[in-house]
Amino acid sequence: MIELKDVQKQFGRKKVLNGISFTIEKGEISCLVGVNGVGKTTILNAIMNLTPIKKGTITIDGEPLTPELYNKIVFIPDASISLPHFTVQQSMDFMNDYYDTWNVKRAKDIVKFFRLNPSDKLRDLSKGNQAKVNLLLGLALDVDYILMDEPFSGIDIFTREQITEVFSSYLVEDRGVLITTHEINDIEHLLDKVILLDEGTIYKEFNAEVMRETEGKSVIDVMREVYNG
Amino acid sequence: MKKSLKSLLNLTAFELDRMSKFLYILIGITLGANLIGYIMTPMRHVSRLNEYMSTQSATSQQALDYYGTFTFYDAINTLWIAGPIALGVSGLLIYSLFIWYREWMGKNTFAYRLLMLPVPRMQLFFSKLIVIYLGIFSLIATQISSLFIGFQIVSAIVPTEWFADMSALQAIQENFLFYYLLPIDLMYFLMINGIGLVFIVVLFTLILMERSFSVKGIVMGIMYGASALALTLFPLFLTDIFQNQYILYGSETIMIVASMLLVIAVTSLFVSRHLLNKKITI
Repeated sequence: MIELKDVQKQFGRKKVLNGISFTIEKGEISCLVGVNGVGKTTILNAIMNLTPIKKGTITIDGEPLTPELYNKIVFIPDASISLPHFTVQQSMDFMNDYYDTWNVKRAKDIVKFFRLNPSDKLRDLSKGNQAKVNLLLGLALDVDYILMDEPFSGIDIFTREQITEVFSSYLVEDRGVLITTHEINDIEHLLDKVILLDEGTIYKEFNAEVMRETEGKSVIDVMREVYNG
Repeated sequence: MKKSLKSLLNLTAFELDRMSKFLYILIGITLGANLIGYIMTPMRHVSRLNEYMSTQSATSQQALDYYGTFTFYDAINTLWIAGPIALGVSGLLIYSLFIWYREWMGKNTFAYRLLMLPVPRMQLFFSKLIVIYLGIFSLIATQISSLFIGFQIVSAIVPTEWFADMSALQAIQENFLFYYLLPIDLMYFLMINGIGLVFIVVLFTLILMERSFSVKGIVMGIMYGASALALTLFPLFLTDIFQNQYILYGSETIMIVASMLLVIAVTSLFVSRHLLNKKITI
């Protein structure tokens, strides 16, 4: 379980996160939603120890994040994080060199699923294909938790459909997934938990399906209520 | 092989591969400029002597009396030789900054990947440090090889009677740049490289301060760098500070400076470790 307790973060004098607490369980798909600048990416960065927090604790299965735990949790940011002159294959080899949890067979399956060419250089790929490589490098690891930042950002409808398929496939099965996205409609039906952020705090935490059934509202409806007052 | 050592070697090989083009260019420029220097400088001297002989109808001895013999020291004491050394030093200094900042540059933030590797983050620090030092030693090795080639070239160009009997080693010992850069005097070589190593460790620490605290980090870095410099230089002024009450021998001063450098290096490594583990920001 990923557990955040009273996490606080400030940029200069601006409080970005003000006492954030939630948990992510294995086998559960959760989504952080909120308008731009509400702190979604900061939360993911904080979980991965890529930005320091001012106060609070973040633990992965009860332990604070150590380098060894990067074999257990992976973060897929919205920008390409491999070297542009690398080919897809070289990027995979790089991962294989450092991660004990790199699964060669799964990597091959994902390359096939996304119809990627291993000999293509990353700098020559379209934004959509770069996003697929990002997903490939994250999903081919046998990790327990996957964090994804805006996986649908700036990509075409067909690529988006392909990526959406990932969320209902064996690739995320039994894993704890935490995702941030503005394209909530595409994956709303797959979500176990929605964490709605507002002004650095958790405004509401709910199950999208239950919300629809009991109050007849979609996630977007709930967001409208919050942000449009 | 122990896992952490394997990942350090992997990272070092990876960084070395990324530096290879830049290093090949520096080595190429060094070799090229040195060869030009080893050919042009003695040829100019020989043609001057020949011209003197033909215009003045002088004998070889008279020309030699007028211009003097050519030594290997004359061949190495030129901009063709000193220039590439300056270029190498400044090039590697700039690369010491670039080796960190490139990870945050452009659309592809490779810092994400590096900081999320399942290895202690100090391995990133050490792999970059090792690579910079491999660069320094590669350039020193290039200079040493080119010195021996150069000596053969100069000996072939300058006629024996015009070439002073001076070995390559003697010539190098008289050139202050080579004296400090090449392993001629082991003590000096260790000292210069020790100072260089601490300088790069401190520089890396300053970069990490900036990457962790942004503008505040620059101020902290300036203060930290100034303190490190003051601490290194302070033993040199000890005698003045104590108004000649205690006069230190040269070896004692060196020992105190070396101890200060050790303190600065160890402190910088601890600070860097803390910054990489707790403060660095993407």
